[in-house]
Amino acid sequence: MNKDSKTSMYKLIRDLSDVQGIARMTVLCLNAFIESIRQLKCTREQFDSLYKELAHTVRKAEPNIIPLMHLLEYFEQDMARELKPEMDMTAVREVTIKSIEQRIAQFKRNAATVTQNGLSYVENNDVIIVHSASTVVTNILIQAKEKLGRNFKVIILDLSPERTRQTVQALRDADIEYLVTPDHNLSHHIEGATKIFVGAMTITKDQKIVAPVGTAGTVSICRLHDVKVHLFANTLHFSHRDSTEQNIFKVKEDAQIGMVDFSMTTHSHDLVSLRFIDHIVTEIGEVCAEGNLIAPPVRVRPSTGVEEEDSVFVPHNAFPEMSPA
Amino acid sequence: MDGVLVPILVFLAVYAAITFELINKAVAALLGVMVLLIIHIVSEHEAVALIDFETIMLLLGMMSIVAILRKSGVFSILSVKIAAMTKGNPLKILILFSIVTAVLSAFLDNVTTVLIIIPIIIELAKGMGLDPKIYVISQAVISNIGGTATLIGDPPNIIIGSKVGLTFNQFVGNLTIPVVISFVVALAYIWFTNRDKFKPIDTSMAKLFNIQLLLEKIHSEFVNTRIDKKLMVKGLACLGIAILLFVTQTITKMSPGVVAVFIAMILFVISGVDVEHMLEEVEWSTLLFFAGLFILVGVLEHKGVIDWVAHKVFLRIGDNPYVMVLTVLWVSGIVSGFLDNIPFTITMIPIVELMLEATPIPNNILWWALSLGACFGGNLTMIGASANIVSVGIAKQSKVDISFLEFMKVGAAVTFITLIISSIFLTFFLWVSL
Repeated sequence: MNKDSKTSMYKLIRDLSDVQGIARMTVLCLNAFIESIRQLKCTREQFDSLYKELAHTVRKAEPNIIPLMHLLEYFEQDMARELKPEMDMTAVREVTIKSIEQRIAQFKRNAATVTQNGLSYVENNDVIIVHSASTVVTNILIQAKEKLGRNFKVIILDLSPERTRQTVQALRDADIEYLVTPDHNLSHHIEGATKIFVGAMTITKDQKIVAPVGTAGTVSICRLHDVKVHLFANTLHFSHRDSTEQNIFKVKEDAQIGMVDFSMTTHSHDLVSLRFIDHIVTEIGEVCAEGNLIAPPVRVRPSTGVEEEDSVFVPHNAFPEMSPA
Repeated sequence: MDGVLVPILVFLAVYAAITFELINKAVAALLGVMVLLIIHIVSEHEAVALIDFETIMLLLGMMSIVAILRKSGVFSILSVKIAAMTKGNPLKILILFSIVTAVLSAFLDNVTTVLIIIPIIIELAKGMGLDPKIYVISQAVISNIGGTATLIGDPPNIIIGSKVGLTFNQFVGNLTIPVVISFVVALAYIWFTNRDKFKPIDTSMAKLFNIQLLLEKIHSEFVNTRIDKKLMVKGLACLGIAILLFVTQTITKMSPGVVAVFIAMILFVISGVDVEHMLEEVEWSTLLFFAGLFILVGVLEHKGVIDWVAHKVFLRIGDNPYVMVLTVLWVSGIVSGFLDNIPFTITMIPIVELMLEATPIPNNILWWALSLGACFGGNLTMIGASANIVSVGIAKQSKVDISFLEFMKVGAAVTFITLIISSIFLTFFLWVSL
């Protein structure tokens, strides 16, 4: 892929995750893999290199889509076991699509378990702030209302029209009381708030979360007012790398206000220290930020001992030419 | 021809101002009218009587219906569905979008059509790493071809239909064949001369992956936020009824202008939309432009200028009907490429009437020649039709610069091809009719 195509793909991924949230984005990417495999016209020999080209590009996304990267690793492990050289393209398609579908199911299962675990964090008379509500957070709120009959109020911080529309629609359908306010107006509502629910794109090795823009400021205000911060994310969001290695998109652009020219640096996502998070809820329950975060198994290359997170696992020769990122 | 110099000079000045975009078209036309009023070439009452309100009503009605339909999101749904159907295949993008553009253009005005289609096609092409230029130019050109098929598809047809009294069915019945053939051949030409740009991308998994994301983004951008189902149903029902009334015009005796405004007003009432807001969507400047031109050309007609031009230019070609038809077709085609085809058509109508008085030609063939020439001729250059200018403008907003020559390279060839097809069709039609 040339540079323009990569830039275009990364922007698409960012735009979609801004609108859909990282969970939907991950599923969407896996479905895009399935559809690409279905439509692809190539020989069995070409398939490996075409897959590698795409997987390599996706792994370099700005920022890294950690759940997707983990699921691709699992997929590649499956392929290393299942793909045989004598298979024709029809069989390859069948095996690969089946494996990706299993990964989608795995991701959805994890998310459903996080949702289930999150239900106990919603109590009667809560006033819950939601910041860029993830699918999991939205589902927790809906199920707490519908299954457990909890009475609570939600303050939706408006960040993007589409995200706000989705959240409002979901809460309205579930008959949950809500209030929408711009995130910079939170100070007017903070006194009555009891909790804040956030999601994260990634939880990094150096104890930070990569989250939508605005999360850091909102979490800080909540901490100052002793509003408990709850993070809901399954362990596929846990990265073996530090926050500085998450490829967070950064752009420096020329700007002008009146007669004054300057350059402005913008990052696509915020970083928030896990020290500011009171509860981290995963599919295995609540985990502690200090020391016992559980990430998916880390593979170690025997020859170098280097951790591989965003490189391809190469047990046999399913993708023999793939080099570590 | 007493006192003709001033109206001629005013008319030429307005024409120049429109052609070279010196000032807004409506302002240019009305300024010309004001000059004629101030120096008492024409009185206010005479001027108003020269306006063809049938044309104005048809435009106003259709613009109102389209504004409400656009607000409902129906066009977004349509475009996104088509985008999904293409599955990112460049040739399918060209063909499917062209079909939609042609059909929409036949029933909506061409500018509305390109406003709907061009942003999505640019997004698709760019996202796929393709050069959007040929897609933009092709849709502009196709919208002009598709609009030729019906009475309401293109301003020259609206003017001809209203002034001459030709019905919706007559337009469809007589122009569908040359329009469909022109559409197919023009599309084939565009594909053949740019076939490297329409190669499938199904040999690259990464590009296919990108396409899926792109289609999802287009879906969430264009559909999720903009759908009002109730409004859509009401709008489509009203559009359907309007078309039905156009088709049954000979039975109902309702003119297209009356039908369009009547249905638009019904739609305003039943949709409960903010009428003030919706009326802002109507292109009042276009309506004023039409009104101004009707007055300017009407004055020239009253002063005998049109009669003079007809006798000195068009009636000199003799009374051979084949020569007359082909002359009107090709002159209209070439002139419409460089001048706005709306004032040109308004100017040509009295000339064609005089030609028909001198040598009657059956089955309105001379009118079809004017329609085909004025509509197809709009493809010749970037400034030949409003749809071209708007398409290039949208492309520019998306940082896709299309030069005058780049447009003309495709547009001129398509114009030549479609005029040849029209010539064959009209010649055959005339041969059968005589």
